[in-house]
Order: sequence, then structure tokens, then C-alpha cells
Amino acid sequence: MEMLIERFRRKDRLALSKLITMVENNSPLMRDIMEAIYPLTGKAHVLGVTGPPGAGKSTLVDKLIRSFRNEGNSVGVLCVDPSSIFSGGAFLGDRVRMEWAYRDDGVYLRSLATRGALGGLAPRASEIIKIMDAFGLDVIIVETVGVGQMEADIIRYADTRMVVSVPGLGDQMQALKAGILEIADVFVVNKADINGAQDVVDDLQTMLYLRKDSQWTPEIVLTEALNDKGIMELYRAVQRHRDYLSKSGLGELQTGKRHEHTCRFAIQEVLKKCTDKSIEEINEIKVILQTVREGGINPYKAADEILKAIVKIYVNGGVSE
Amino acid sequence: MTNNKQEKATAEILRENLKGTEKGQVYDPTYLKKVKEGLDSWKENVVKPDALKNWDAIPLTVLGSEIPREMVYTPLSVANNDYGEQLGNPGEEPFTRGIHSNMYRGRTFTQRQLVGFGGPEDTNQRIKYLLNHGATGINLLFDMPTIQMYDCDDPMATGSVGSCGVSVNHVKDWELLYDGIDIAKETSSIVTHYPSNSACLFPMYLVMAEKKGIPWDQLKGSIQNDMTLEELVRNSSEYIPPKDCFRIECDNIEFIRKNVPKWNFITINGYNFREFGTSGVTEMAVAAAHGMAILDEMVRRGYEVDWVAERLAFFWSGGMDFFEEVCRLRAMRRLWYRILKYKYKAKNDRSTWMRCHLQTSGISLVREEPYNNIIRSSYEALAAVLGGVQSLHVDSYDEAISVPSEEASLISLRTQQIIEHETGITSVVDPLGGSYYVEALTNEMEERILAEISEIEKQGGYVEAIANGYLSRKIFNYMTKEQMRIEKGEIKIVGHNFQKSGQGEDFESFRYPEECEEIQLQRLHEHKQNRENAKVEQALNELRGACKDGKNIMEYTVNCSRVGCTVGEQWKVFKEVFGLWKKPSMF
Amino acid sequence: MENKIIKVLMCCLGPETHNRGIILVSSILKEEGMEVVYMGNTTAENAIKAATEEDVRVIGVSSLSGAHLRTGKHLLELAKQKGLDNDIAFIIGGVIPPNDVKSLKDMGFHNVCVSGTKREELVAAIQEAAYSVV
Repeated sequence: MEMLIERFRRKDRLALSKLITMVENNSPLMRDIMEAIYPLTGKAHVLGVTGPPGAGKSTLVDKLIRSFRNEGNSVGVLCVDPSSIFSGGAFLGDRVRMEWAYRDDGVYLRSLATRGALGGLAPRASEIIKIMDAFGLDVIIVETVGVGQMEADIIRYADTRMVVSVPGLGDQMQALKAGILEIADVFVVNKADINGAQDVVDDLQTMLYLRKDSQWTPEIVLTEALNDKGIMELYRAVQRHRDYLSKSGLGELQTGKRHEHTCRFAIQEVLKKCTDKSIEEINEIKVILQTVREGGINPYKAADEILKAIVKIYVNGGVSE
Repeated sequence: MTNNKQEKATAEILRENLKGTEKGQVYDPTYLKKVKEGLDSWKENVVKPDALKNWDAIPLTVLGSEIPREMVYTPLSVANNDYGEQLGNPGEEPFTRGIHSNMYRGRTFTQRQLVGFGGPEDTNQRIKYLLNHGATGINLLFDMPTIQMYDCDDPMATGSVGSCGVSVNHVKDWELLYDGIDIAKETSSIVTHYPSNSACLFPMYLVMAEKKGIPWDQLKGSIQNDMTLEELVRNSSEYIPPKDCFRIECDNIEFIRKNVPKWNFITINGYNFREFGTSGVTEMAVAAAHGMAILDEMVRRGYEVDWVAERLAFFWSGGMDFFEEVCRLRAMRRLWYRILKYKYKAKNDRSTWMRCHLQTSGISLVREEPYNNIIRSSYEALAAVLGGVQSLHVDSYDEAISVPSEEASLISLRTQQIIEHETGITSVVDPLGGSYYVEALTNEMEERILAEISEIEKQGGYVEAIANGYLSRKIFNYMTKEQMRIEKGEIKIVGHNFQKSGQGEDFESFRYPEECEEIQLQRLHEHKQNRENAKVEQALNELRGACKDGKNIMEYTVNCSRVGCTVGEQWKVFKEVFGLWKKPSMF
Repeated sequence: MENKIIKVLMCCLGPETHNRGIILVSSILKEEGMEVVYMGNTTAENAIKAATEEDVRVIGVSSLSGAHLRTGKHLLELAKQKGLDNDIAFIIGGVIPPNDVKSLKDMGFHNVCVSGTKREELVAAIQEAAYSVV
């Protein structure tokens, strides 16, 4: 693995891909990888993009990437696609939905299938983002589809969070408002040439007025991605947010929170692994669980007992993590 | 262009108009009663109970419609089939029996074989070979780069030049292609599938004619110019939006109708759509909806319906379900007549004719025991002739493996010639007419096609049904279901999933001259050096303007050809002005 | 606990007009639990770039217009140049004459799945190819 990290440091793209795969596949070496690359992170600006299907996100992202590229930035893109619940397989078609980006050598594009992870995807995605950051990519764009909890969790890892909607969503707009709109920094109304664009803008402005938390006033940008309209304005809005983050110190605060979150999550991962392993291997614990299954003991009481047993073994240097 | 939601469905219009028609009594009621009694008695006493239980059978074939068939058909099946209303005499409304009174006695089905491979000079030789062996027309196929409008020096073209069709990039290539061939005499079906590539390639043929001193009104032939192919059937990394593609299609039609009067400006698909994976019923419904969209647009542009309808032609696929194939041709002829008469109020008979070219199905042919494919194509060809097509192409037996060899091409031609000259079937018009089965199935198919037309109308019409992905999904569903059926052996294909013998592995297939890619590249390079690039730039700019301003595009692409623009250069202008369309995903 | 999901890139090299093959195969592979990076019509260069970034194990090429020998060779040469030939297995399928199958395998294609190959055989071929380079 040292060879791989070495190649990674020397900007070998294949090495980057391999490391990402190892994280995707839950490799046992994952912790080592993350520890090795962590010091190199912190320079990239991460942009999270989501929205309902049909909003034209891919086209928009494609055009935005061109703006970044024109300013000499290297760009990484992470496209999240749903895995089939039944087969576990996935159709990763995002590359070709972008007219230009996938052909540009200055862009690194990776598709990521959710693999039924539900709540668990966001941490994987955040690790992959960190690896791309450590690789030296100036801008990283994470694109997901949908407006649910999973998408919200993912784009929480971004510095600038962008939600793309379109006119004519009807009920979907309500669902949008209930969840993800709360956390966005930039709102885009794409396909703005369609009737109803102004209604969406009005709707969003009302919601923002009622939202009192942040010091940053989320911007609303109208675009027609297919016609190349509004892209420059969007690019500038993103830059403004980026500047705001660094000037106001909010950026540092968010990054700090993410470090903490990573740490907490790592702790939880270790604990979970340890618990699972203990349950599998320690006879004493297996017996307790059997009793739980038979209904002979209150599950909550059993939990306390098992915990005590695990801690005792751990303290006595028993089960290795 | 979008269908007015207040408009009546075509089915409704037809129903209203046919309601009051006088129907003669086909059979004497007493006679019918006797027949019925005889039939009932037969069912009770002669037919085995098992057979009675399974009275309806559904033949499962490749690209079939899964229409149930009764075990036997009798006068009762066609008791109300008024001859005048449902059949008519050949050459008389409703044209079920044929668009001409004497059909093949007067004019045989044109025997045209697809030709095209390598560079222009390679194909030129093959054309001459086929003409010398009795082919009565040229059916020209281009290579993938040309079809998809990539010049041979585009990175996408690398390695594909000349492999399954002829490579042409500019007018000089055309002149080599037709060297020594009299285009005033020979009709050419130029397989330019799409509106976009028709707009770029056909003008080159016209400019070539100009240079040979042949006036355009002497040119005879056809192009495909079909939006179904560009937007629905083809695989591509880039599409222009359906409404713009439709506009180009209509511009092409308008220009050609005005300036090249003997040329068939569209061959409504049909074939490729069905081959992708759908039934014969859907194939015809989509083609009909397409035809109607064109007529609506031309009327909107201020033309009389007949002006375009007179020259509309269809291009069908010929599948393996023998009677389904015969009957749907008859059904479509009648249906198209009714649509043109009652919905569009066409004034001439010519406008109501469903004239068509048919190609036997390529998808029905398999690799194993390839000579079996000759038999399959023969039956498909026979059905087509019994169904009354105007021209025919028989697929070669090695179609499933590569571009046809000379020998295979010849056999295809012979298939048609044997049908025409040895079987005697062309001495009678509509020989299957009057068969209880054939008439009953013809009626059934007409109903089904009309029902699917109504579905498309509910989507907002043909263009919208493409834009919103409805038709794509329909294909996908049919295709995956059929694939399953073949794998499970429910659809039997002899030698492939049924009665396998393992033969047919040692097969010498056609080799195309691979060096043509280098030759074409060199030729293109020289062409670009020798032409006046300032004029090229100007012509392309004018084309750009015409696209934006809604002018007729073909007027400008003709000009582009005159100054030596390539196909790829013109396609780039379309993409630039119209933008790219994100095709809805199939799955 | 490592995931063993196979990632496959599906493409047509050059301007293929037919996509029945690639669509059917992609659909089947997804149903079998694989992750399919769908490229459609593309150049060999873009396919290799994608394969590198997506870290696929298998590249599947659908060829229905007869140019397989040339376009296949170009792809394999490019893969070798980029040092990917030991990392990725290549499979080609479609309208391919029987006497070209050997040439393709000699060129470096792990397997050739001509049109009409059954679903089970196809899936097995891809799986086998994937495991051969792991």
C-alpha cells in the first residue's frame, strides 16, 4: 500500500482511483489510507449539488465545470447514483450526461453507487471527497439526485451547498422545502425559460425570509443551462460564498465541525466493529443473546449486561480491535 | 406543432365517418345460420375437447404482435365484411387489395439491393455489378461515420471508415461513387436515415447532378429523412432537440417537393424502429402518427394536403409471422386511405395510397446454420409480395455476421426474381383476398394499429411521444420481454435455440477493404486544401443564420455543398444553433 | 468486510447506430448486481480515461458494424500504453464473424461474446474476466 500512496502523492490518477475503490469497498486498510492522506486535505473547495430528477443538474454542472476550468482550476466530480434494491447493481450513466466534462483531462470524474447504504453512504462519500482533496484537485463537485435525507447528509460535507430546482414541480416543491432547502447556500432555478420560474423564485424568497439562522443570505440564481444562460452569475455566486466562508471564519468553523464529526464517526465505527466482533466471538455474550431471542430476558437489560462484558474484556486487553 | 387538446382523436373521426356507410349483406342469413349450425356441430362432435379448450393460439415469433388466432376461420368470421367498404377492387378505395388495379401485372416490385462499403470507388464497382445482373435500382448505404455525420478525420471515425457502408464526405466523393452511372436513368434510394444527414448529404447528390448537367426534375429516387431514426432509433452521443429535428425534416420535404419533383422526400420508418425491438402493430402506428404530424405541419405552412401526401412512402420490416405480415400491409393500406380521406379530406386518390418499400427482417436472422436465413428471408419476401408492396429488399443470409458478400447479395436478388418469375403469384392481384382468415386478421390488425395511434395522440402526438420518452420506454419493454422469450425458448428459432446442430462455425465472411480509411483521409485532406475556405466559411455562416431565422435549411445546405463544405461541418452548425437534447433514459 | 461488486464499463467504439446490444447487456449486468459505467458511443481515448477514473475491472465493447478488428486493436494498444492491460479485462461482442474470434483473442480480448449469446454465458464471461485481473 505504501507504493500506492507514493504514486498517489506523485499525482498518479490510477492510484487515486484505486484508493477510492478501497474506500468504496470497505477495505481493512481504509483507516491507514485515511490517516496517511489526511494531512494533505483542506485546500479544495467542495461544492455539493442536488435537486429533484429532471432539474437538469448534469447539464448545469457540466457548464459550471467549464467556468472553473477556464480559471485554471482542476476539478474533481463525484456523481452519486442509486443502486438497485433488488439486484444490488447500478447503472452509472452520469459521465455521458455531461457533454464536456468527461472528456476534459483536467477533470476527474467518478461515479459512486449508493449500494443500499442509505444512512451509511455519506461517510463513504465524505472520505472519497477527502481523498480527492488530498490529491490536489482545486474544486470538488459532489452531485446527487433527490431531495431526501441521504442527499442532505451528503451535501452537508460540502463547503458550498447548491440545490437545483425547476419550474412546475408542484407538490415536489413542498417536499423540497421540508428538507433540503433548509441547508442550501445557493439556490438555482434552472430551465428558467419555462413558465413559472418567477413563482419558484418568489416561493424560495418567502422561505428564506422565514429562515433566520445564518448570516449568509442564500442567493437565488436563475439559469437556462442548455442555453448557457446564467452560468456566469452562478459561478460568481459560488465564489462569493467561498469568499464569505473564509472571511467570516464560518468556513473554519464548518471545517472544524467536520473534523470532529469524522473523529466521532471513526469512534463509532470502531465501537461498532468491536461490538459485532465480540458478539460473534465471546461465548458469554452469545449465551446472553440466545436468552434474548428466547424471550427469557428483557433486551434492554441484556444490552447493559453485554456492554459490561465487552468493557471488562477490553480493559483486560482481550479482544483486539 | 403540439396537438391541440381539443382536437378529436383520429379513431373517433374514422368511427364517425364510417358509421353511416351502407353495408351490403355478405351472406344470406339463412345460409349463415346453416353454417353456424354446422360449425357448432363440428365443434361438438369432431373436434377433440382439448383442441376446443385451446381454440385460440398465439404464435410467438420474433417481432410478433402476439395476436391470438382461432383454430379455423369460416364465413362467420367475416359475416359483415362488406366487399365495397372493407376491400374494394384493386386500385379502388379503400385500396385494401392494392393501390393499382393490376398490381404486379403492370409494374413489378422493384428489386433493389443494398450496396455500400469501403471508399466510393469500391462501391462504384459493386453497383455496376448489380445493375449488370438485373437489379432495377440502387440502394445506397453509408458507413457509420458518414451516417452519424463525422468526417473521416474526426476522432470518432477512427477505425470505422468504410466498414459497413460507403464513406462519403463531400461532393467529389459522390462523383467517384457514381462514376459511369447515368443518374438520369437509374433510381437511387439513398439511405440517408435522418433529417440532419439528409440535409447535408442529399444536396451533394443534387450538386453532382448540376455538375453533370442533369436538371433536378429528371432525378428519381428516395431518401429516408426520418426523425424516428434520428431521435428514437439511433445510438449517438449527441442529439438535437426533437422539435428542431422535425423542423429540418419538414424543411427537407418542402425543398425537395418544390425542386426535385420526382424524388421521394421521405420514407417513413418502419423498418429500423421495429428492428430495434417492437411489434409490427406499433411499427405501423408510429409511422402513421409520424405521417400525420408531417401533414399537419405542411398544412400549417400553408400547403394543400395532397401536395405532400401524394409522395409519402413507407418503409416496413418484414417479419416471420407469415399471415400477420400479409394482413398488416392490407390493413395499413386501408387505414391510411381512411385517415387521408376522412381526417385530411385529401382530394386525390394518389394522396391516400400507402405506397411502401419493405426489407425483410435482419433481426430474425441468426448466426447458426446461416443458410437457413435464405429460407427465412424467402418466406418474409413471399409475404411481402402477397401483401402488395411496391419495392422489396431481401436481407442476405450472412447479415447476422457481416456486410453481405457478393454471393449472398446475388442470392437475395435471385430470391426476388424467383418469386416474380417462377411462382406465378404475380399473375393474380391480392391472391389471398377473400380468405376468411386473412380478412378477419386484416380487420383485427387495423383495429390494433388504430388503438396504438390513439395512445400516441394521448401523449400529445408523435413529436411529443418521442420527446417525453414514451416511445423509448415502449421499445425497451418489448425488447427485454422478447429477449427473455427467446432465451427461454418460447420463441423458437430453428438452429439457434431449437434443434441446434452446432453447425455454421466455419464461415468465410466478407472482408471490406480496410485501407480505404487512409485513402479517404488523404482525399479529404486534399479536398480541404483545394477548396476556397473563405467561401466555405461564408456558406456555413449563412446556414447558421437560416437555422436561427426559421428559413428552409436545405436551400442553404445546397449552397454549402456547392462550395465544398463537408457533412461534418454542416452537422456542427446544427448542433451549435439547436443545442443538444438530453434523450430520456430508457431504463 | 470487502465488497466484491464488479464494475464494468460498456461502450461502442465509434459512431455505432445500433444500441440494442449495449442496452440489453447493460440491463442484464445491472440485474446481476454489477455496476455498469455506461459510455454509449465514444472514442477509445475517452473509454480509457473513464476506465482509469472509475477503476473498472472489465471493459465491454459492443460492435455491430464490422469495424471490430480495427477499433478493437486501437483500444487495446491504448490500454497497453497507459499500463492498464494487466488491470482491466476486455470483452467484445456483437456482429462478429466466427473466423475473427481467434484474431480478437490473440489481440488481447479476454473473450468474445457474439450476438445471440445467452444471458448466463454472458454474465459468466464477464465474471470470469473480472476475476482474472483481480
